[in-house]
Amino acid sequence: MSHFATAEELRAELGAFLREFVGSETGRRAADAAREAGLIGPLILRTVNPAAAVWLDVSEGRVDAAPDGEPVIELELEADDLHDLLLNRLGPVEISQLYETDRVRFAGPPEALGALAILAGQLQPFYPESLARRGRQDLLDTPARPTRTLWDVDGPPREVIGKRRPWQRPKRTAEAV
Amino acid sequence: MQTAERVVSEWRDVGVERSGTLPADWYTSRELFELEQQHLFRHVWTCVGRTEQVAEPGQFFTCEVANEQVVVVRDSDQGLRALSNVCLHRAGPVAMGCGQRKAFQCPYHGWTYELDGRVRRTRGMESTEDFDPASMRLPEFRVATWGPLVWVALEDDVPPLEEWLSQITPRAANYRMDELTYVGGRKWRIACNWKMYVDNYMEGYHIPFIHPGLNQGLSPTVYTYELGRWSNQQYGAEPHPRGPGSRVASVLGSVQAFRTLKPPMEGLDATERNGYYFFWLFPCHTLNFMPDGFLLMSVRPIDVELTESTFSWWFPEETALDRKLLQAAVVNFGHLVNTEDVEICTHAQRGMRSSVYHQGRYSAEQEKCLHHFHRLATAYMEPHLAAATNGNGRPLQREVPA
Repeated sequence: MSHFATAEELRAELGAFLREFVGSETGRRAADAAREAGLIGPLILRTVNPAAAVWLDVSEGRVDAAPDGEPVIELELEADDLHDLLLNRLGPVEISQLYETDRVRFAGPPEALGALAILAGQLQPFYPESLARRGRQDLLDTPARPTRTLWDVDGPPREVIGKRRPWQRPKRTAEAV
Repeated sequence: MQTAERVVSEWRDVGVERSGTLPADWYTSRELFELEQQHLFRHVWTCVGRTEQVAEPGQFFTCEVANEQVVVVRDSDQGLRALSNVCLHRAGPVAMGCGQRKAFQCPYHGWTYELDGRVRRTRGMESTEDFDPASMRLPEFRVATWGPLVWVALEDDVPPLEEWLSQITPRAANYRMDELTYVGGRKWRIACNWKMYVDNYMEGYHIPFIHPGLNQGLSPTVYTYELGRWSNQQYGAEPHPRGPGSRVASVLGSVQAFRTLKPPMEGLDATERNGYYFFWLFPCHTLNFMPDGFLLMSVRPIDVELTESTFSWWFPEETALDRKLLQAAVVNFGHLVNTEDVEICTHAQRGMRSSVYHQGRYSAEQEKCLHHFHRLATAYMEPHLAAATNGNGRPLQREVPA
């Protein structure tokens, strides 16, 4: 059971806080910084449980506007995980665990992802402030999961040897050699 | 030549240039595994927890070292103790898990103990003859701390912890471990002998093949090995000039891009800012000093072909989400590297069971730390293997190579 009853509720809260962010002085400075760092163009944030999608173009200061082209970054994760991230109540190990267990997936150029990490630090405080302003104490009061956890993995490890990672240079073909 | 009587094949050290590696049956012999518990793991320092877990009087945690059940506790006088966690009555646990208590009570029949191990109350023992609870106490083991870590040694013949860590302590100074924050970690269970997994840590020889990300994040020319008494050191520099690829490439691009976003910790010297000190500590710990923080890897033999590895991470305390995301990228990368190691160790363990593989050879240049580990491990075990083989004499005197 998600903290968000419906996709509409989730979209409303995400849209509200992102619009506050892009309309703020912090957001405008962040847009300049994002452009400098290579985060140009829209990103699409998809959630599951409930399924929703929000478009954000920081450099243009737009939220939820239909994009002209392809997203630069695609980010997908559970709505509750996004909520915990935006309330800044996960530690490095728990954040890594989301990625290691495929609960968060992203795609995009490394420079843009790096810029997104910095952007996340700037936009995060707007989320709890927005929830408070909108009277969503219920969402602010949702229980935080434990941090500083020792993640005990019982299952067999992923097979990774020999599998080419997206960021690796392509193997030279016989023709190229 | 292996005979039915021998526990494992003999290993002869004639120097890293000429020796063969440890024979395959050292990785598969159940008899050897059990002898190791008794003759190796009881005679070393083992990291069992963190000082913050036992900061206040009455705080305790339980652990197992070489089949010995231990409870580490901060007693009423602020002393740190490692007590046997085995009730003197019928061997139940006097403490379970971790927490804070004024006294311990065995859940089996209710015997209670003071935090210093003295027996406090033995319910229902009034008619038992020649029984003096006032003279009874839980056996105690050696305990010491180093930075944020608590260590236990079961036997008196283990050198002091300061000596055990003498190669590592000077290097740790600039990382100011007391100021770092423990952020959690991850455990793996690996289908291999503990030595197989430790062997893998001992060299950078495999890095280009098993760790494509790590390989691109390390300089191809600066990777050094240095042997200590009870430990050894590997140092890998970040590439200069910084090239494509990354230690955190799966997440955030090149080393250069990552360092732009996340500068190293303050107070580090040039080699510390630009590289990684990987220390192995005999037999089962690695202490990894990074520009971003500290990683402890603890290896625990569970069965002859089952090993547990625990990663514990320490970083400077951060509150902003972007800082945490960058720390998470470091954690993620470390876990990816270990997942690669876990997989190859599992394959190589199967190879140790081959009928046509007996032993390999060392790269004299790149596997001197591996050879160092094998010298130490065999120095602990050989006297007892001889005794086990002959089945009659006293164990020979252990001679640990300097």
